[in-house]
Amino acid sequence: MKLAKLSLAALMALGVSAFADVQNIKVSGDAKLFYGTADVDYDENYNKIKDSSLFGKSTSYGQAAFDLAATADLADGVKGKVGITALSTLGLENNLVSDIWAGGTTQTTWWASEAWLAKTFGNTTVKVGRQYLDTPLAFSEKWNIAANSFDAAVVLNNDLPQTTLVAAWIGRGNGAGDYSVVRTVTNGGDSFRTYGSAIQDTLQGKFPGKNVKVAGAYAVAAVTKAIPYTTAQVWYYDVVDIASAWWLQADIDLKEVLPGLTFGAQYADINPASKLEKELSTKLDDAKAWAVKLGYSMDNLKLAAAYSATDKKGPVLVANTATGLKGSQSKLYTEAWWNYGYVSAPDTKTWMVSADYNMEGIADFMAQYTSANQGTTGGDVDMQEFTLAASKSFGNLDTTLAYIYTKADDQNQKSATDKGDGYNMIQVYLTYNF
Amino acid sequence: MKRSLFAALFASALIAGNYITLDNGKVIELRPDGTWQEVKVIKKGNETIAIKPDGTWEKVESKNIEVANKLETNAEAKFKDTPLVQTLIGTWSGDGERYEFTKDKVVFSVKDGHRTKTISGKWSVENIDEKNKTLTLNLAEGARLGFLTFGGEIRKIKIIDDNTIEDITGWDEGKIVTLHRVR
Repeated sequence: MKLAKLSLAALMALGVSAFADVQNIKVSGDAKLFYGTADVDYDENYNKIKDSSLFGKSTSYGQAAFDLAATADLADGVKGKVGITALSTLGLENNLVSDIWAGGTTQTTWWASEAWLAKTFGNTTVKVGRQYLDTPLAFSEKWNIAANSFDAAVVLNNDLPQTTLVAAWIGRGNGAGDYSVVRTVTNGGDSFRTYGSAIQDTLQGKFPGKNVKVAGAYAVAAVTKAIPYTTAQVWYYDVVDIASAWWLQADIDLKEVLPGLTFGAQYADINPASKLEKELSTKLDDAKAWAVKLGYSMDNLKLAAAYSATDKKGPVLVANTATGLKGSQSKLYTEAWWNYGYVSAPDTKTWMVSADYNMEGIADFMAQYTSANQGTTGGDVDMQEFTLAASKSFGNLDTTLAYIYTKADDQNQKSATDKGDGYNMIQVYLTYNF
Repeated sequence: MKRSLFAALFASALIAGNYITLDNGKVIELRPDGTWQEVKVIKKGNETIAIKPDGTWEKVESKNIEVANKLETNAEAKFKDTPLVQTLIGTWSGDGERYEFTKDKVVFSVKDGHRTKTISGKWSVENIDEKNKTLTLNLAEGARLGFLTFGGEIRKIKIIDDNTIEDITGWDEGKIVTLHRVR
């Protein structure tokens, strides 16, 4: 008995000493409830929806999410983070909604969304593990109730003045297409797949019977502020066996001309791999896009106008490669607020204007109009979207109310040959931070 | 007997009015035996009455209910007077982020997808890297148990000049946000 007590004490001492090098543990998270409703009359199979009014069950979607994360400073200057995300409908599908925001299932699911270690050596930081990424063509989409993450290794170096060099290897991800953003599995399965699988899904849908291979991705980049008033970035990607890609961007502060004035330019080129062309027995063109943006900010007001154009025969969207080829968000300046996959589609010319205003003590307001016009080579699918959003925080509760008007040729159609009618949508975003 | 009655009355006169309103709006009574209890303060006509947990009540002068002074701990005050930290005081905005620093409080808002995430509360400086002009800030911490903290956020800010700062918190995700002072 005495021996047992001693062993217990020894174990406790061992436990304490094992954690003695763990410092500054921070535990935080949030709980979300998102709801949306539309007065759309026809579903994607051109069937008339019975209860198609706003707030009707048939045209509403809702879901809850829970995020919990802990960061800590570990021994030898290593920093670490673990985070979990859980999705649940809370049973809303029984009464109020008929669809969900993310994950593709009404069952409750959870997964480790982050689990990484980072260490800095001089001017170089190495971050390894499951993490969120924010690069132009492979990133975590945060517009939805849950964001996709990556199993990756990222090296960042700051030896050159005002310049960050980036090298990344992306092994796996849980990105999913068709606006779902995250792929989930139930019963404790692993929802992460080899990076490129989301593209693979779509390509195999387009080319039935073909075996599209995926093997992760590499990326290198330089982001510099060495040029006066300019942030310039160059990214190169190799999505193994699928495509290589370039992304060039320069954002210039024109305060010498007029304080608050900015100008930006983007160019992207996604070049399908010869291995992919061979597998699909098809010669594929590059997907190219360019965009420019003029911005102006003064005190609490921010205005922007942008224009973009994509190449006529691009086989893929100039958008996030982590979430497939349908409904992926794009980093092009002209990207719509809600309807993704139009601006970045081939043969599309888009213009966008937006205004943000922070009315102090009242709320943050945002208005955006996007008009994407596609040529006949690309499919002749036009889309116009107008969004008005207001955000306000009440203590730890963040709220956003949004109104979206959409008129897209391929939505709300009576038949395959009809151009879709416009419809209204209202969304409510509630997030409690803790 | 007479003396002890006088002493008791004198003591109760001293004790009356020993009520304090806390940050959260609750009112407590500090008792002479070194303990405290929460009381409920109500208005009855023109009179203010404190209702105690033991069922008794007492008339109090509302002007005698003090408001608790704000406590600034050593951790909160640490580094606050250094020139680098003093530069932070004010409002900063840029690329979807906004900071409003006063000496004691911060309001931080950031575009996070389609929502604006806002964190507000006390702030403290965890670390200063004078060489790189970089501050590690602990914003709106909810609670602290030794080295374990709950809620809020750790942000890393680099001071460029009096009118420009960089939020380098997302540096390891390749994200650096430049903010300018809002006048």
